[in-house]
Order: sequence, then structure tokens, then C-alpha cells
Amino acid sequence: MIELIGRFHPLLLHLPIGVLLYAFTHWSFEYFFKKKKEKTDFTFALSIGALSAIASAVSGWILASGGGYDERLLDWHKYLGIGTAASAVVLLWAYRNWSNQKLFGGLFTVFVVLLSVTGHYGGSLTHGEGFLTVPATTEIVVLPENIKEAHLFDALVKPIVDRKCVSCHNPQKSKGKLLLHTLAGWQAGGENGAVLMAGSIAESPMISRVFLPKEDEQHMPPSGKLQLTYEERNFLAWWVENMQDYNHQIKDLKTTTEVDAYLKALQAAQHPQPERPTAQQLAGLEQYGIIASLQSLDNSWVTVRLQNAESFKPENLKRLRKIAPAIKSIDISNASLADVDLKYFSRFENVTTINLSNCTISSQAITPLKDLPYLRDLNLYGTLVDSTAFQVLAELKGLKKVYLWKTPLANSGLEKWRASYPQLEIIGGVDFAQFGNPQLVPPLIIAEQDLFTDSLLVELSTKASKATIKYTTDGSIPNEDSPLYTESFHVFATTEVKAILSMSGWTDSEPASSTFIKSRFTIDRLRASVEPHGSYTAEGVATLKDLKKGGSSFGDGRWLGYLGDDLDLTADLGQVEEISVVTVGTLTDQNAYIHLPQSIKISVSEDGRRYVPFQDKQIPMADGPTAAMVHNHLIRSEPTLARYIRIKIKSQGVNPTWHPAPGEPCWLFVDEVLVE
Amino acid sequence: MQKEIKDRQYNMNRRAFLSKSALGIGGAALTSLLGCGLGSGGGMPEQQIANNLNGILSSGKLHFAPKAKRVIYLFQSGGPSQFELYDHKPLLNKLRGQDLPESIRKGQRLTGMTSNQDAFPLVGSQFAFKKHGQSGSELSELLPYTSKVVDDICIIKSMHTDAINHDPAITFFQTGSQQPGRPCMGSWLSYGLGSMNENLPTFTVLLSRGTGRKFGQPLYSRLWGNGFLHSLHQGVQFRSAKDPVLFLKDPKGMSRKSRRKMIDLVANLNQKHMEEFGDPEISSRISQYEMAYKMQSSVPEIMDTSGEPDHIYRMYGAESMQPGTFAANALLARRLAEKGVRFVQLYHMGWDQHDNLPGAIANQAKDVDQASAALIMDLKQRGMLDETLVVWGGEFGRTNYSQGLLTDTNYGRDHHPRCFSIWMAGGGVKPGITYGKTDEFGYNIIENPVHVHDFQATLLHQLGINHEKFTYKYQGRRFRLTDVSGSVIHDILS
Repeated sequence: MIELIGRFHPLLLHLPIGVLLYAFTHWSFEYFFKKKKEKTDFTFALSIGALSAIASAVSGWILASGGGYDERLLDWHKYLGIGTAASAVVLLWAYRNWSNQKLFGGLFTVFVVLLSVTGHYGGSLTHGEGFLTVPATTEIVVLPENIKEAHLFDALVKPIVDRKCVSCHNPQKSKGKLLLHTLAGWQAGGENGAVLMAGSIAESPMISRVFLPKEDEQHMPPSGKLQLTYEERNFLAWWVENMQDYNHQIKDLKTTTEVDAYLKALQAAQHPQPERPTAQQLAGLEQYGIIASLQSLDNSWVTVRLQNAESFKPENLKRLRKIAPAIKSIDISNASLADVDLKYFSRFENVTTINLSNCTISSQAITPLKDLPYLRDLNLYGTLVDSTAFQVLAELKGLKKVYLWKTPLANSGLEKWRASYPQLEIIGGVDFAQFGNPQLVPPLIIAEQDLFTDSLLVELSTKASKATIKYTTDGSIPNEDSPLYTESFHVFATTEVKAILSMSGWTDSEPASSTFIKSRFTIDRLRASVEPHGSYTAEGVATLKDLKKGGSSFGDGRWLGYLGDDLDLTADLGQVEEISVVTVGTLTDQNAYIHLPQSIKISVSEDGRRYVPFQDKQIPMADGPTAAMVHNHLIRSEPTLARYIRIKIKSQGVNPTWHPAPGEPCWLFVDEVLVE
Repeated sequence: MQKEIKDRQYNMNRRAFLSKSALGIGGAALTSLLGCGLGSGGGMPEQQIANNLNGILSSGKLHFAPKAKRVIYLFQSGGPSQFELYDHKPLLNKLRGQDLPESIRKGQRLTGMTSNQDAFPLVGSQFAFKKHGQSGSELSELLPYTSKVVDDICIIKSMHTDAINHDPAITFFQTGSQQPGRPCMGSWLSYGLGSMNENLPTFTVLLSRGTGRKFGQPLYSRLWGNGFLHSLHQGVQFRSAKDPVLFLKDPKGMSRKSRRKMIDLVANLNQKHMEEFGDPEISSRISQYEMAYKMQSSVPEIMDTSGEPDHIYRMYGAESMQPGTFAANALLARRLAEKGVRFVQLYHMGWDQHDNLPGAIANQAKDVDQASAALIMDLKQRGMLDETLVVWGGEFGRTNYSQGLLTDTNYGRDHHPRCFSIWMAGGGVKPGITYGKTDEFGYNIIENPVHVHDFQATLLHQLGINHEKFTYKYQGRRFRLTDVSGSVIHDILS
């Protein structure tokens, strides 16, 4: 019953304040402006004021005895309140008895000051100290554009509690001895122990009490206080059920559709959609070289880029004024801007991404960006910004990424800045040292063909414009002292050309090598024992003496292919010559079932009837797969007089055992027979 | 008046219909029976006649706010083996030489290349794996440079496809159907998003041959074909040879001025023709002439990389100085992306290691590893990675058993569609994660499968497109890149 009187304090206290302030205003008005004799009688008003002040003081005393308030503030409020009630009585007495209006006016003024101070302490008790001076104590937490990256506790959970619970659970007014203004308070719990238990709503009174019916005594926040919304309640419940600690980001937990909807609404509230610019507005910008396009059907944001950065006139940026709030991202990279041109940027209040790369701007230029709370990505690569840029960057609370490659700032090292601003991803250039001194690619040795009868023009080539080519023609590996290639050259004999590529800061290439074979004798006629396979006939057997060699592709039309067959060739030089080398070219390509021959046997004759052995060559089979390549089998012997040469080439017949298809018939590919 | 308008619409559409339709005269008869419902008034309201470079979804018609502006697709043609690169399976090393249990294979069809093999000896990677970066993603020693960027990429180990042979599988990846004839991804995007640079094609293609298998599977230019979309949207191949784009150069003695005059005159004639007949292909042709003229100066400029500083070459590797290599193409891809090309399609051939796998895949990996990683780093330092979706991957995976004889040092692997690995980076894809899991045998997926259509849906999503709403009506049916399935893999999106 007594307690009930205490509960009337919030009702009663407004009476003396209202009545007495009114009386004071009315009395002052008459004192200063109304000169006529007849004046209002304030006895009744002052009596009501005094009585209600006493009633307030009494009810307040009773309420305070319930406890739970900041002692220091309460003491002040209590004694000032009693003083105010007493003073109200004194004021009534003075009005009745003093004739000196001036003196009474002074007393009344002092009283009103006392009344205000008392009221202020009362307000501080209820709403928290600083309620008056710091109007919005709950700091606005800027949500990241992708809300899933938001820190769950700091950005989403705590702000709800800050708004709806902290006014009673703070150091000034620690109801239930529970403090919710800091994380430490959450973890410490209240007079009944812990308030939160991860994974269990039932064991988390802080949440379960929110769900009690409003009429229930235990319901929080108490009726009359600002209540949690349905969505906020469910969000907190979801959080408690899924949380393991206070460090989650949203994406760490599995969200429900309800939670997703809540988050989306939050995001939308914080980033209200601007007015959707009209198609004409956007199209109208094109004549100034600005491409502004709406992002999508489901929002009204605009992305801005330049049609042609080189020819863009920066003063045209002011044309963006009308659509400025709708601009979400703007890319003016490579444009020739002056520092001052960025002044238009402070209008882009909702922008999240700005690309200023390769603009010749300094740190001063980015000062106007300070006013852009949602700026998240800032590309300053290739600009002239130096360390003073951090004076601005540090103020951008929403900034997540800044690109600083090729700036004076990056050149002085970014590590210390990364340490000072750990929340900011500072992206500099790639550390090129990690690539070492890579080895160059060998130069190309180019000639029209690699067999010739008279002379051959050889060209060496590379696309590395700053590299040099050193080469040799004697078969040795080129080194620093080898001749420098400047222009194409002729070879007149069988020559092995080797070349390397060098460039400062790089490792010299492997030598490239090509052998150009001069054919001394031309073969007059050539006969073969078997026809090539129908698919690989080239130009017939004459292909073997046309001085054009097949390449490493079996399908290039210069190879004769024999499936499973051995091949006997008989060459007629037209007259008796002294021969010492016979060269036979074959191809290997295991994927295509093409292998080396087993052996090549050569016999020669002067008259075409009696043949004498010249030289045999057994060719070892590779014991595993190799890359496709051309083999030139050089078969040498003592110089022998001969006009006819018989070449017996024995095929492998079938694939070797290690082949993916062992035992399958295999190919013999032959091109070019040379006699020297 | 109404009649004149109707006649005109009829006239317009009869021509367009006849020139495009495979139905021929029967189809024409049908249109006349149906009246002229195909005009601008109805029939294909959502389809635009491609007479300019704007995409059908540009100017604010995208379904979502896009995360990526462009795509660089490093297609690894031939089917890279996941076992030697991304998907570490120690069990296969333990069971080396043992037969693949039927309980794992479960009747999976085989290619003609291994279907007559008596045994399927399991074989693990000959190359060591190690964890890298903060993300701890596991990569093989064949990818030392990719290992440096693991924290920027998302490795998907649970890709699967329907096709088992190269061409159908690549066609499936590119067009959403194993049968040729539909538009490829780049063409779809050109149609939807339009151009960001009127001097360059929206969709370019760069080819390179790997050292792993020099004369492997060829590629057909229909893989970058526009299908039933307007020919404006087909991919333009940039070659490494003297003429980067074929048939682009003016003949000797022709000045640029007279070429300009000629093009203007032809455009005029075409315009008249267009007004008379209304065939949309005429307006595409006008744009193509104009584009070709512009490309005469813009293409040589972009292909000439000699202005790139030495450290950039060092980063992409020595081969980047050698036109026609993967490294050179990767560098070009960055240059094209910088100039606003929407879709840069690289193809690197030679990943088809049926035999001689250890040696060949090492070479093949060396072709692409450094340049792929360099591309990521280079885009990142320029601030372009966030808005560029980079994809690295082939058309299918390879078997966990050896094709052909398994020796101490040598083995091969056949095609395997049930699981393989790719990676994506940038463009709003979560960096530094590994998604999906295969079983211990590396034969089946056990967690978070990603079908080719899911991949395509995700790619479109990142560009702001709802794959189910992005359609083109042709021969009476609305076609889409993802055919009739596919869902966005939200778990890999940040």
C-alpha cells in the first residue's frame, strides 16, 4: 500500500513543476507589462503548488526506499526535493506577507531555479545521467553494405539493448543490479546470476522475460517503457539459440528467413533508397561524357563511370548534383582532375565505392570525402597521395579497403599503416621480388626450311623487345662473348645454330638450337617396297626427297605413314658418287601410336644388282613415353662409291608393353632421305 | 491506317522469320495464318532488336545489383586432373594398384578409351600437397604461384557435369546444352549486359596451346558462337599472329579516310534497306561494320603489350613476352578488362592426360600457374578484382584409376564427370574458402555438389542476372543459359 504511494511519484511530480512554473510566468508577465492596479491573486496557484510539492516529496521518499538507484544522484534529488517542497511553502507565505514586489520576485526566481535543478536530478535518475546533454547516446552503428559481414553483437544485438534496456540497467540506475551498457555487464549478470546462456533461451532470463506476457510482473521491459518489437524479440532469441560467443559475424551462423527479412529491413532503414533518377536525367549526362546507369530493378542506386576518361572535363562533375544522393559507386579513374575538382564529391552522401586511380591528385584532394559515411572502397592507386591522406582516411568510419599501389604513400612502406589501422584493408602493390629472376624463353630460330642445297637465310627472333640474342654456328653453347645477333644471316654448309636470349634482371634462356642440313647429292629416283597407308600418302614417295621435312605434327602432309609395315627404299643418285652419310627422318608420337623403327639397314651398289652392306643401325626403343618429336637417324660409314642405295626400315609393328594400348598395330612415319 | 501498320509489321516479320527460321515455307504459311502477332506489339516483347551496343538488361533492368562487371574465364580445355592439382586423396596412394571397388563406381559409364580395360588400378597423386595461406587451402606442389593467392580464391571441389567427352562437355559448360547450337555464356552476357567500350568487342576469345599435350583436342569456333542470338554477340577471337583479328586490316593503299567514307556509304544503303524490310540482321550488320572500323585502331593498340613495365612481365612469367602463350593471353585479358571488355574467354588446350600424366601435367601446370596467380594479384593491386569474376577450370575431371598400364613412375587418367575442381575469384565470391567435398576415393561427391547449371546460375547472379528470367524466345520456346535447372550457390558468395 505504502509502495503504491511511491509509484505515484512520476505522476505527482509534474504538478508542482507545471503549476508553479505557470504561476511564475504569469506573475512575471504582470510585473513587467501590466501597469494597471488590478492584479491576479496567485494564492490559490501557489497553494496548489506547495501542496503538490509536498505530496511529490513524500511519494518520492517512498519510491526511493525501494532502492536500485545511483546513491549519489538519489541523495541530491531527495534533499533538493524536500528543500523544494519546503521552499514552496515559504514562497506562499512570502506572497501573502511581503509587500515588496521586487523582493518577492527575487525569491520566486531562486525558487524556480531550485525546482529546475531538482527536476533535472530526477530526470537523470530515470533516464540516465547525460540524458539531457548527450541527446543520442546510442551510437549509430554503421552497418556494412553486406550485412552478413556485420559483427553480430556490436552491430546488431547491442544496439537493440542499448535502445530498449540500458536506460534502466546502467551505472546510475542499475535495476536488478544488472548493467547492460558494456559487454562486461552482460557477462557479469544481475542479482539473480547470469542473464544469458548460449544456446538456451530458457536459461537466459534476459531473453525469456522479454517473451513473457506484458501483464506478467517479470516481463521486460516493464510496461510503460519502450517495448521490443516482435522482430527484435525474435532476432534476439535466434541469436541466443545460435551463438557460441560474442565474436560472431552474421555469416558464421545459419540464418532463418525471418532473420534475413529483419536484417534486410534494418539495412534498408539505414540506407534509405534515394529517389529513382529518371531515364532522361541519366541519358542527359551522356553528352557530358558521363555514363550513369541504374543498378538494377530492385533498387534505385546509380553507378557512374566515364565514357572516355582522357577527354573528360572535370567541371562536368557538377552535372551530377541532381542525382548525387542516388550515386552508389563512381569511377573516374584515369581522368585528368585537379585536387579542387573533388569538391563535388561531398554531395555523394550515399556512395560506397570511389575509384580515383591514376588521377593526378594529392592528399588534399580527398578532404571532401570526409563527409561520406558509407564510403567503403576507395581506390587511390596511381595517385599522388602521401601519408597525410590518413588524416582523412582515419575519419572514414565505414572505410574497409583502400588501394594505394604506385603512390608516394606506398613507396614509403605500408606496414606501419596496416599496424595502425588494423580494421582497414590496405592494398599496395605486389611484391615483385617473389618472382625472382625468371628464366627467359629461348629465341626462335626461323628459316624457310631446315634442308637446303645451296645456302639458307636464318633469322633469330624474340618478342621481348628489350632483350638481346647471342648465337653460335659451331655447335657450342652461346655465352657472353658470342656474337650479338643484329640481322639475319646465311649458312652455306650443314650448320647447327644455337642462340640464347639475355636481358638485365632476368636469367638467360636455355639455348635454342636448330640444325640446317645441306644435301650434297640429289636423289634422282626413289622406289618403295610398299604403298603408304591411304591416310598419310603426302605427295607419294617423292615426298621423301623433296627437301621439305615433316614437322612434329603427323598430320602436316609431309609424312608418309605405314601401319604395321616394314619399308624398303631404293634410291638412285643418277651417277656413282662417293657417299659417307645417309640420313633418314622418322617421327614419334606415342599418343598417335607412332614409334621409332627397330632398325635401319643400308646397303649400296654401283650397278643396281650387287649390293654391299654400308652400315646398319639398331635403334633402341624408348622405355617410356616421350614428347612427340622428329628423329634424324644419321647413318655414317667409310666413304663408299655408290649410285644405288637400299634402305630397309624395320617397324616396331605393334605398340610396346608400356603403352596404354600394348600390342595394337603401330605406325612408322618417314620423311626425307638425305645422302651426303 | 490500322491496316497499313499491320501490313508493315507483317512485312517486317515475314522477312525476319524467313531468314532465321528453319521451318521455311511451312513456317511462313503458319505466320500468315496466325496474322501478325509477332510485331512490336506482341510476341517477343522482351526481345530487343540489336541495333546498338546496349544490352537488354542495361539501363537499370538487371534483376539484382551486380557484384561483378565483367568476367575473365580461364578455361582449361581437356579436363585437368583434380588429383594432381586440387583434390588431395591420400587413400589413393595407400591403395595404389588395387582395383576400384564396384561399390564406389556404382555403374558409372566409361569412355570408349577405358571401357575395355580389364582392371581399374587406383592411383594417387605423384605430387605432394601442402596447406597454404591463412585459409589453409590444400594445393599441389605443381601450383606454387596459385598457392600464394589461395586467400583470394574460392576452390570448388564438388563440380559435376553430365557429359563425358570433350566437345559435349565444353559445349555444356559454355552453352548449357551438350548439343551445339545455343549461344555461349559470353554471347548471353553481351546480349544482356551490353558493351562498356564502343571501340572493342564485348566478348573476346584468346586461345593458347599447352605443352602438356601439343596436339590434343581441338576447339571449334562455335564454342564462342552466338547461337540464335544476333551475330553481334558472337565472340571475337584475338590471335597472336600478325593480324590479331582476321580480315580486319585495310588492303594496302587504302587510306583510313576512304575506308570511313565507304563505311558511311554502306551504312546509308543498309539503313535504307533496313527501313524498307526491317530485318534486324541488317542493323546488326551496320553495327558490325562500325565496330570493325573502330577495332582497326583499338585492337593493335591493346595487343601491343610492349609498354608494360618489366616487373609486370616478371610477374606473369617470361612466357608473357611470347604472344600466343597462356601467360601472354592472361596479360592481355587484364588489358582488355581494363578497357571495359565484358567477357574475356581464354582457352588453354592440352589438359587431356590419358597417358604419361605425371610429366605432361607438370608441364601443363607450369604453363598456367604463374600467369593465373599473377592475373589475380594484378587485378587486385589495381582495385579491379572486386568487380571482375575470374574463373579457372576445365570441362570435367579425371578418373581415380589409371588408364593404361600403371608403372612405378607413370600412369594416365580417363575422363570423369562425377567430380572435379575449379576455382573462382573476385566478383563477390568469398575469398579463401574451399567448397564441397568428394569421398576418400575422389570418385563421388559427398558434400555440396555444384552442377554446371548451378555454376552458370551463380555466374549470372554475380553479374546481376536472375538466370530464370534471362531468356530468349526462339522457335517458340524461351531458352536460357541454364536450360531448365540450376540454382545459385549462395554459400560461396560474400
